[in-house]
Amino acid sequence: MDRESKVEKSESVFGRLSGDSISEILSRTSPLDASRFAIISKGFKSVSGLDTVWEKFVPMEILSRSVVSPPLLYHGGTKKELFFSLCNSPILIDGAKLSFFLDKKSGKKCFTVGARELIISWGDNPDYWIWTSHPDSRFSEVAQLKIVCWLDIRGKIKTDMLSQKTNYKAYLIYKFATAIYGLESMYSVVRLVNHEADSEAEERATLVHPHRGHPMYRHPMPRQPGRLPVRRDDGWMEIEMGDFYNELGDDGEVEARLMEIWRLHGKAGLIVEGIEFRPSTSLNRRNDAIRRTT
Amino acid sequence: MTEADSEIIKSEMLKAYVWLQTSDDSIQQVEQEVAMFCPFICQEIHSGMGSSKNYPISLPSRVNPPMLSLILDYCRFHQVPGRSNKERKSFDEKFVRMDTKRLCELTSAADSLQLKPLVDLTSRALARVIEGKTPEEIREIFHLPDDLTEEEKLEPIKNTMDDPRIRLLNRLYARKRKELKERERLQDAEIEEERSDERSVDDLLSFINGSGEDSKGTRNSKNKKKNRKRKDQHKTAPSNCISTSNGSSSRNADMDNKESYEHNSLSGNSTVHRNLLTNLRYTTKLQGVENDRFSPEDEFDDCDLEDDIDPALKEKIDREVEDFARRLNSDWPERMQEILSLGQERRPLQSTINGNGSLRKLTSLDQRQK
Repeated sequence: MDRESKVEKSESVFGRLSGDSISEILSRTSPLDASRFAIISKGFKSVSGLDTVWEKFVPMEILSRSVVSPPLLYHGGTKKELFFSLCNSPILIDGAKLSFFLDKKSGKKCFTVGARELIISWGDNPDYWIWTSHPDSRFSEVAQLKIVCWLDIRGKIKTDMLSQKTNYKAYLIYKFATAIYGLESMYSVVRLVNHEADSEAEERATLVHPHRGHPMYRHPMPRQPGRLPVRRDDGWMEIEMGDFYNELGDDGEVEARLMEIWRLHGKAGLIVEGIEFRPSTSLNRRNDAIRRTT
Repeated sequence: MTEADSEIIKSEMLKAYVWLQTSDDSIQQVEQEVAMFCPFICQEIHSGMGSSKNYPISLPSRVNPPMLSLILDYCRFHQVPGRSNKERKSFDEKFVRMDTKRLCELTSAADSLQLKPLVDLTSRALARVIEGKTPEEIREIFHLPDDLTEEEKLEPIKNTMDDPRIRLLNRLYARKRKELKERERLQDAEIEEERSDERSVDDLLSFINGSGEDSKGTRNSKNKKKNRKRKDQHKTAPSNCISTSNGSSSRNADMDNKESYEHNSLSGNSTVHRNLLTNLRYTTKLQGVENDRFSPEDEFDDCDLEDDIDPALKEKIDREVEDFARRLNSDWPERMQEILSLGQERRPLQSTINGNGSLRKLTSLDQRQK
């Protein structure tokens, strides 16, 4: 008799938790876990979709910085719907200088720093870089490289805006103009501005090959030692610039830098949309790596 | 009596106690400063309860004696002001090391006593238990019944990925995929079936190679024909679409005979193309259908729409899907350009690999495009 009642008790203990308690628990897991919770059993289907759970996954303080007034953003949906719409379509924040979205699997924050917010050497000189609008770009302007010998592009973001205890990667988002030149090899590095000097970072910069993927360069080449670009499904290409670990977000700014400042041949034909920071574990849509197509 | 002794007796006499009654009607005497750590008990004391054995504070039913004892341990430790954060953290970590059943009970009890820090602690511990586990594992740990039907299980998974309108499309895709697999199994036995689809595939190919605007027209009219057919045969409708997708894969196989290299490079993309074509099929179906009633809805009749979807929501979703289709309609020319440019990009690159033979063949293809 005792054993029976014990079994009964254990069968229902979790089930007897109030909706509030379960919300508290679920909101401390991840969006993926909370979604999965809906298929556990009948009782939990509704709890797993509650606003009290999903509002924890939506960073409201960032939404308040959106260029579209927040009430228009929500348009009466549930917080769960808001979460997924933030995963599927980025929003512009801070006067349209930055774009923000959430990584679906982990719910972590992702940002794209638009071209105008990047620090581009010689970027203000119309002989070298021109600023135009591009139909595929989320931002009002993209930077197009006419010709330059000193290529140096930096993108910064404050670590307190990023999710804590996360490994982030930085990506340059770019396209090619019809003709490109001199973009075969260059270097990139990501550093925490307060912890590392420029010169130190330059020493550990890694090799990247942005030119791969341009029709001119699609034929098979001997395996190249540096990083190769990947095609995104918003019509742009991205190339990984480096990674860093964001512990508590109190490390000041992090800077991703792309440069070719040692071999001063001419470079031309690069169209830069921005630099994106997202968790290294994010499954960013279906990208087909350039190397696989040759 | 020594001075020390009298000091001790004095402090003992000054300590205030409260009386608490648990769900089993047993009454306990607890130091007031410890019990006051719980907001619930604090409120009760302020309203005059608990000062004597005859007027004990009735604790909520979820607080049984073992839980109360645990909670009091927690309060006794944390109400001491002098402790460092490190000490508190370390105590907490050891404190929550208990089996999940007790964790659940404790969460419940702490919640009813409004002891937020303890609720936070136990919730975090339970969250760690849940994190990363499959539904089966969670059911086992918490002894939960597996009482959802297959349909109910599938539906939320898709819903978490997309909008309701896209969810409906996804549902269709999934079913088509399933039927495609079945079709492929039959394909080996019946090769004739492919031949009969050759014509519609050529249409498809000319549509890919032709200009966006024209083919849109032909596709729409072709679609309308198919839709009329579809209305009569709901169940066989899917097979129309599948046959064209199968046809397209056979088309790729034809190209294989011409240029093995191009096929190899495209094979990676043939699935993409096939999916793209399948996608195009459904989006055009939507836009074509928008003029006739909303017939995809008919296809969903026999399927796994959730039982609790109320008519108002359903209408809302229908309207949204129509909007979606209308939007797709307007984006169509741009999308066509995109797809065409994707296809055109790939062709020139092959010219450098193969010899003259393939080059000639490529230009003939290119000419057809012009």
